[in-house]
Amino acid sequence: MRMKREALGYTRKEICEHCNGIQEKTLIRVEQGRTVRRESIWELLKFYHQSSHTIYPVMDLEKPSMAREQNEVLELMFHGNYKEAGRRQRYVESYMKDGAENTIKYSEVIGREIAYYIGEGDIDRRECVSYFEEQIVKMIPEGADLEKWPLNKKELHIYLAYFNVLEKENQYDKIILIARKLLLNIERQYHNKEIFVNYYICLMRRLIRCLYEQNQFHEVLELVRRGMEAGASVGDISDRCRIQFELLNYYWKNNFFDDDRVKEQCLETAENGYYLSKVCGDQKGMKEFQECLKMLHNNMGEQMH
Amino acid sequence: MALDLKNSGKYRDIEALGRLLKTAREERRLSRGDVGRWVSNEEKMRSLEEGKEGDFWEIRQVVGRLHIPSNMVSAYLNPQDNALVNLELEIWYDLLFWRYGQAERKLQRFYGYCDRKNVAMMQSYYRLLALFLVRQSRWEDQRTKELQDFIEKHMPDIEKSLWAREVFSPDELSLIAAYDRLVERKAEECLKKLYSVVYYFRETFAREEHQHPFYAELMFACAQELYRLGDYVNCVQQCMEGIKVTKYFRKSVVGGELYELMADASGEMLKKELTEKKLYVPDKGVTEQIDAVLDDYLCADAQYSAFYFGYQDGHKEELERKMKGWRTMTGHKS
Repeated sequence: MRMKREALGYTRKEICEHCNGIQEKTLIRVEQGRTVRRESIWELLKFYHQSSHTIYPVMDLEKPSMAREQNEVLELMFHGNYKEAGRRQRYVESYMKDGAENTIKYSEVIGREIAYYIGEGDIDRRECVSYFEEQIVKMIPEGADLEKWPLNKKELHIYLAYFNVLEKENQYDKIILIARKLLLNIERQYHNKEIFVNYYICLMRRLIRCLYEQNQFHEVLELVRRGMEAGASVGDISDRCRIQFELLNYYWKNNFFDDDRVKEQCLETAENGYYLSKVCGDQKGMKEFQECLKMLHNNMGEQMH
Repeated sequence: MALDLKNSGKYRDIEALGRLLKTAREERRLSRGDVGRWVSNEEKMRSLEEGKEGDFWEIRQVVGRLHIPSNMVSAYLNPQDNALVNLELEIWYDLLFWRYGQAERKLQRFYGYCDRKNVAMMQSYYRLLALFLVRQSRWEDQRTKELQDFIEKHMPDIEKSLWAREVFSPDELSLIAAYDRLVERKAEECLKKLYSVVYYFRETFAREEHQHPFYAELMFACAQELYRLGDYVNCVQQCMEGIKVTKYFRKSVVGGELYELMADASGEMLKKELTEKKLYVPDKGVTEQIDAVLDDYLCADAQYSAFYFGYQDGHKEELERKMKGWRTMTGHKS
């Protein structure tokens, strides 16, 4: 709560003026994490667009075991199996309780992303982008500094879903602008390590990808280093592999595959990527790294892609 | 210390959590007393189910016992709990990736913050401590006695409870397995105890085992004991089971160790076969088996190099020595 106030650039006094009736001493208690009645800070919660105090969404389901099914949906989405993810998502939705506002909203975000990818029905792609933009506007009050505004896991997920859609629409500029701010935001480390690293690397590799698409190579090595360092602390294989592939891509695009000084490093990166992909059963990754290895061994850099 | 989220006429997360706990408990036909055993009491459980605030550590344990995925309900952290839960996660990662110096320092900090009267919170501390002591092979550490006292006082008759299929969360099972390894040094006896946890877990968490990181640690513990006993077939089997966790999360969870042990055990079996059947290396089948062993070592090496602290300073050499032995047999260069 304190961070949210600071991200908006207000003093406690100013916040109390904006939120009718809230007393400064109550605000101090809230910012210190002490108990207050919800009614006494209702205006404040509205002002901060805060509907939930949870880090993760609480799934309000008729059958609690369906929460595990929801995890499976996210897993399927990761592997690009959107059709099956969509089928299972509908199944999870059928167990959602009527009136479970937050659960339904969260599910809608996932549903939209899936629908966009499989082109379900006559989905209006532009409308889909607008949908995510609306969600973001609802999450963050006007004037808030995105670099400082604390975001929970659900909110970060919405940003990633938004980026996925933007990437498909080739709107790289938008991603670059927001991803940079979000990375700075996460670097403040108010999250636990897992959330911090998961989203940090996901955003990092999207940023790197978009910079490539825009032919902006100068920051790539530094971003790769930061992403790999974060991922190493928690053993994140899949994102590390993707970043390693981006690194090889960078070396290839800049004709380093024939440079003896860098070639050894490229070989190591490709071999490591190949075996890491193998460890998590990522056939596509294995194939990509195998291609790199082949090219490096044959000195045929021009065949990449 | 959590925010008091009173009913404002709309559905709220704390109420959703209460309903979730109630439905899950009823679905499993358990009483509130069953679910709250050791860490909570019936009154607190009722209050939680009614959507009133509760202690984070108790909630987490109960959620685990009811098989609700923790990433769906971690909620309502006050600043102190938030700091502690983050520290807990950092210690776990430090242990996984051999950052033992950091883990020990953080464990001391964790202990300093702990509320000694909160059994659920202390379970978390002792779980990490037991894992630390096992990984460091500190069998004689004075803190083992402290851990023993805690288990005897707050988690009595564990074995009986396991066989009676009373409810345990994966975190509690992790503590039990680490404790068993710490106090039982005879491989056969230790394995017997570990298997009572394995059977319990496989029966009560059937089809979702690989979704719990603890399962990788448990399988690795069993595999290590089996290797000590020379039961290489089952050792490989347990390693393969443990590796499922890494595949599922796409994160290395004891991944380096599991692949290395699997290669070691498969190698031992292959050596035996080569001697007994008098097979010779250029045989296509044998070469393929050697390649498979080498592949497992390479999968271990890839994870060690990417994530494990200090791997380059010693263990890498050991792994390369093992690989070199097999490569020489097949005439592989790299």
